[in-house]
Amino acid sequence: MKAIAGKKSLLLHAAVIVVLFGLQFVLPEYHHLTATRIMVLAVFAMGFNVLFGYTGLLSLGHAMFFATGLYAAGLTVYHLQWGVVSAFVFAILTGAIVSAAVGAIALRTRGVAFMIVTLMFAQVAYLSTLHFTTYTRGDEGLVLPESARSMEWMGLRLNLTDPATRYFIALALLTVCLVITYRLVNGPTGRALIAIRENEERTRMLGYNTFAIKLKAVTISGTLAAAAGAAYALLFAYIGSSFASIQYSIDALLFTLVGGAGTILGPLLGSFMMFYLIDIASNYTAAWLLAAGVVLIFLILYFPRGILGAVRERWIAWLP
Amino acid sequence: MLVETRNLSRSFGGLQAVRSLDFSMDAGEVRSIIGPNGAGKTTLASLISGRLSPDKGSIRFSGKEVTSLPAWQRVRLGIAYTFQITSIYPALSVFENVAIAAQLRMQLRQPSDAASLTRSVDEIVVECLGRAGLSIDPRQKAGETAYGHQRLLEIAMGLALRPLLLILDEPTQGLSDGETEVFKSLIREIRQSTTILLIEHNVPVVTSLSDRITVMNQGAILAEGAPDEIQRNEAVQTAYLGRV
Amino acid sequence: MDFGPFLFLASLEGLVQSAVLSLTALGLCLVFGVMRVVNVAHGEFYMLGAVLAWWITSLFPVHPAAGFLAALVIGPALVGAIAFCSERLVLKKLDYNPEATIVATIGILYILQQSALLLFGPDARPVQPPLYFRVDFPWFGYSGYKLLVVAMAIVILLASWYVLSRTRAGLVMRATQADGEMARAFGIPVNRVYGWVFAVGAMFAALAAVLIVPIRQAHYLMGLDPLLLSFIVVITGGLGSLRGTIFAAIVIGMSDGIISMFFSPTLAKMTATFLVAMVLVFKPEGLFGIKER
Repeated sequence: MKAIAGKKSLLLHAAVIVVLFGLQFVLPEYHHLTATRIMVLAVFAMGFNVLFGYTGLLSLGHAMFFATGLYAAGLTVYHLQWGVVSAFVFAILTGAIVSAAVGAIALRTRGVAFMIVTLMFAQVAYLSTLHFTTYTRGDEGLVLPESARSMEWMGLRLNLTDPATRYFIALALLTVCLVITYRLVNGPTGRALIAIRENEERTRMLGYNTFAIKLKAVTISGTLAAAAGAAYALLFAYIGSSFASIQYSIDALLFTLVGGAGTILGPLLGSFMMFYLIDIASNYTAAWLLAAGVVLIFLILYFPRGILGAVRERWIAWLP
Repeated sequence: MLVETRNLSRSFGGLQAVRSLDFSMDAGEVRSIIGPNGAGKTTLASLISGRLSPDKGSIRFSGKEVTSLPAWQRVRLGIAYTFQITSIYPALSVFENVAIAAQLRMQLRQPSDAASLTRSVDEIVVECLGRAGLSIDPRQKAGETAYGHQRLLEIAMGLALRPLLLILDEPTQGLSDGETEVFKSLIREIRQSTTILLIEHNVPVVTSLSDRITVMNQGAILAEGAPDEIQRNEAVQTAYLGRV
Repeated sequence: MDFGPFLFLASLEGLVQSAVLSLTALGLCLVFGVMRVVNVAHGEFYMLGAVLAWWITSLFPVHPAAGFLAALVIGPALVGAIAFCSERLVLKKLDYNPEATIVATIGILYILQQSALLLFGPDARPVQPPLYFRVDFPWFGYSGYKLLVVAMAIVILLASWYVLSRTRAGLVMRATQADGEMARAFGIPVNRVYGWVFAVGAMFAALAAVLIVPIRQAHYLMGLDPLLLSFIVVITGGLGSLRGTIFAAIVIGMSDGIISMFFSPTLAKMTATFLVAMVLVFKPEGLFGIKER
């Protein structure tokens, strides 16, 4: 029974990738670009979900990790004229180091204190993007130079101003992220993460080093967020303080809650839905964030498991 | 000597829960600790398992000094603890509950534990559910099973760790007479492979299961001996048994 | 200006900051202390107080003082009512689960902030001070209204201290804070107390904002700074300890005022936020936390 469920869910995830791959040929130009953005943001939300959905740790500062990747990639390209590939790799390493360090400190707290501490660290990160304005140009931000608009990769020359290339890279990143989370969640680490989420004290008394496991979760989660940030900087050639603001931390939470925390595809679904909802709302009013507020309250009151969470509960128990 | 504490003390605020306690037990024993409420039984069990750290004194387990080891490392050395208030994963399936424990044992891959090298997590789960006498559907959510089943599930989780020492805190609390009988036969089966430390109120259960009984009162050991010795001990009768 | 007088000016600015911060943080502290709810929307109640003050004074074009007095009464009352409703409609239904209430107050934050944008527009709105007078020091003249803000804040703090320690309402509140279960057993309608506490907490923020709005302007995005500063104060003050909170508000308000005069305000905020996060990690009982119970 288990093996069949595993096969089914594997097929489902493969189908999602295939559909996304096919989508690029039918989407009109505007939606094509939007879908590219959403896929990158979905990676951010999926990283967030590793921590929130599977480990039960609510970070209110994930924008800090996204911005770490964004700035690590963007600044090295802008100031040091690094190539796109090396900037991306550097950003991922920086993301891993920063998230491990933040985790090692913040995980000394639990519950509400953890949320506040991550919120405050993220605020420090945001303020430092403003403070070091000589390098970052603060709110105004930096547009990456023309030289960083193409990359050389295994003898292949990719033009990053070409929409199809960008779509393909975003999809590739999403696929890699999906595979990583899928393997993580269905492996022994996933079982330990869920155990911590459900009953940390019990898990400790079953011989698990819960601190180390939570640190691992923060690091994986932060690194995925940083990868998304780096991709965002390199694909769209712009970095700015707003990406480090609390707004982005809340977005990750919102996307994840809508789609379903603790489901692999939930953040992806949530990213698509919320991005378009906000996009539509902003056509009508400047106060488009109102939609975000209303959705958050509605979800937490009536729909705390999100869309895929509810689907799993009612119909398809094998959904990972 | 499997467990040996020396001069062990722990207080909460002004209250001395355990005072300068020397406690020891041998491998293969079934030992019970009894005593009135607040005698320090659960505190002692928590100190041995590492849930609490002592103010003073030392703990040795299976020849190793473990006083400063965190709880999770002691579990890996072979001390399993089941909580006084049932502590399971209510939202996960019965199967998953035991699998979490079984997975840890597989990760340790101790050479002495041949089974963990050759068998899968799933096989160990099935075996432990069977040994604990849990015949319910393993796909059921643990929180939705009957209370008695939840207590048995806790024991199955303990067994999945294949501990050297299994500490059971008030295991028969809230069980019906029938369930208590099942529990007694379960203990007799488990003791073939594991040393057992029982914290228990139920005197008939204690006398019928234990090799030796330790009576605690006000954080200290009042008496220790075989069940019939304890029943004859006058100090114990006045302090604890009263005239039941 | 010489260093001495400059430092004096900076301290005065710090004092004004402390006064407003004490009120704002006291509201946050009350809500956290009694209900164990971290109210992320607290800054928006502050913002609402300021925006409503602008709106009310613009309705009373007769004399700035009349409009201001009206704002001082009506503004916090309206904010209190809004807070009460949101508590009844949202937080109560979540059973005060700490994580869910944080997410919910983030939602409330957006709703309040964006509603203010919809109703009052994106512009910063100035409010006339109720009276103009200058206090002349030997080195510089100083706005008399700013000193009045400090005085009014002290009066409000003393009044709330009286209410908390000497009246039945205060007793009920303290009993609920000390032990909700026990209070319920003594017949205190804990649930209703929560509604009122949440409203009163928001009113403190609104009061602070009405006092400060003639000095700063009303703007729909002004809520984030007081929120973060209040967090900083409540955490250093020892989470839920009223005395600690006031003390921390004075220290942090003064140092924020002074440091911002000498260094970049961003750097000051950065260091303060970082240090306080560290306090929360390594000394969760706060720096000035008086161990209660």
